[in-house]
Amino acid sequence: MIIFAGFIAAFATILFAGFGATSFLVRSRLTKSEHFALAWLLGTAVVSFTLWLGGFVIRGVALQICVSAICVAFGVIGARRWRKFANVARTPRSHFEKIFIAVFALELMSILYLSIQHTLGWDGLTVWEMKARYAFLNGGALPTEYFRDTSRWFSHPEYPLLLPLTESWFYTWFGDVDQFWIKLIFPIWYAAAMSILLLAAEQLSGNRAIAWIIVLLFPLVPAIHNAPGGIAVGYADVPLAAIYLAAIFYLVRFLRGESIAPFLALAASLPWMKREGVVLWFVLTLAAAVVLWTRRSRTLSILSFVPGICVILAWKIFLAAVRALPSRDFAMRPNISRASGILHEFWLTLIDRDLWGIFWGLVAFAMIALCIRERTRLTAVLLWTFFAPLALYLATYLFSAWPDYIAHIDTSLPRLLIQLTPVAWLLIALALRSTTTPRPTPLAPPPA
Amino acid sequence: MKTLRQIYFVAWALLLSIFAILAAPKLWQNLRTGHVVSPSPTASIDSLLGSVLEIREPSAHLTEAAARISSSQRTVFISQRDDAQCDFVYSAICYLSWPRKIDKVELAPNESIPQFDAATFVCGIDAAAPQTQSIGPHLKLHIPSSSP
Repeated sequence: MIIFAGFIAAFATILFAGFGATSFLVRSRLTKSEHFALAWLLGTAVVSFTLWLGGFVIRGVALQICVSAICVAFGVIGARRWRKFANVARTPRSHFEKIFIAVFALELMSILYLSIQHTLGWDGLTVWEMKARYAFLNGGALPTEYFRDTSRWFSHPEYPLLLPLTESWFYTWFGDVDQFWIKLIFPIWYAAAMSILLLAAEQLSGNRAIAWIIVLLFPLVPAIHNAPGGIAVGYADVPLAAIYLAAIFYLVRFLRGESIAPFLALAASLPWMKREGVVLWFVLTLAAAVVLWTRRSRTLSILSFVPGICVILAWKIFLAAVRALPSRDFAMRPNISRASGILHEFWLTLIDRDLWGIFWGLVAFAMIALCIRERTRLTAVLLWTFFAPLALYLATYLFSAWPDYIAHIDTSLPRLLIQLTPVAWLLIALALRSTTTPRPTPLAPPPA
Repeated sequence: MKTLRQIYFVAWALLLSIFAILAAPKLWQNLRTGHVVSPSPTASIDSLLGSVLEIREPSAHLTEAAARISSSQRTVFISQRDDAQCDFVYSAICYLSWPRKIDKVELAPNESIPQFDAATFVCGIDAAAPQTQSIGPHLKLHIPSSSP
């Protein structure tokens, strides 16, 4: 009962913080599902970042009270701003949509059940949850000795802290470390991701039914529910995928003339979730910067890099200050001769039916269709958000310091592809657009 | 043109249906074959480590064993090189015994176990020595009697 109450309190404080943060970043009321998704994604970022910063000066109950107060303050200020926003027009739900919602509820319960069934995976336990445990035992902040402890090098002390400090926040409210109940936070990331996927797929396909079909098909990709890095094992890949999806969605909205602020906030959260988040942040921000540059907002184009750079630099400076052990996974010099081996392993991963079924076949079909039907700037941006990180991820194996780089690929590539699965579904949604976007007609030549 | 469009969407409907028909049973199988882990604060580590060490509640045993080692005493973990199961045991002991630092020593195939003036965990190697506590059939802990 205490754990249940603690879970609700931790969840509520995160949503308060996220609700407030969302209200600062958007200019109109959102639907409940969109607001929930943003509240969770931004709330976890706010709480973990506040815990990290607060942990430099206070610990224990004082830290818990301070962070809770900040969450509540965010919520209150957000609610005030919220009242000033215009109401969002609601479209009535059709019978079909009610059926879709019922099926989605069943799927969500299945994901919840899977999380209860599975233990945390090895990395979920010894890389992510371990940091949460030590932070909890140390009053909410990771002990600085941890970052230079060679006997715990295997736990990647250099990894960022969004997930561990979110877990630690739940532990603080539980009053104890609990490897069972903490698994239940991962379905929340899944629900947030699906809320955004529904909106994004509807916007791209122009059809709500297609959007629902995509949301309902999403968890059927075997790697999502039954692989290292999947939803049930407590890794950071699904949460990172959720943030990446949301950042792409708000990038698309920005391309259509809305505010850039939610995109910048979500993109800046990416490097705070996982090391690969730096790649995803860079890819997205570069796309936004190019768009801003072409719109002649050159100062804003350069400034769009600032939030992410601040997060990355803050973490790097901290690691340097505590003399954290460096990563052992990568060397400085590339080994170009591996290129063919990397591509071969990539191909083998794509056609692994146990992990992906025919999912990548669908994605390939969608890409071909997009190149024929929908040659627009939006398509180019979506293809960029898929191919650029993929190329960079594959290129990193040229620098692998593992004795057997093939083993490195086998261990990590499926997890990296999980991060790109939502954007692959967005490509499918765009390919399913019922009417193709008309291409701009060239201007008629002036009369002679 | 309209026919082409219809063929295009029929093709999509077919592809998505095939995907769902092939993939849904895997989710169902995953849901059916697992068993709910009993709720406990150490549920995950007990489940993962229990099958490796072949004992019940391994985290409790390891915590208890680590508590017998003086905080000032050096601790060493010995295993064969590239033994994935012992690597996991090492990670688990480190996980449970914070802030104790545990040095890892990996042995070549025919290398004999070196002697240390330290509390020594020996994993996956036969190590018959006095004052050795067994933590399941694969892990032994030796605490020198001279230890404070």
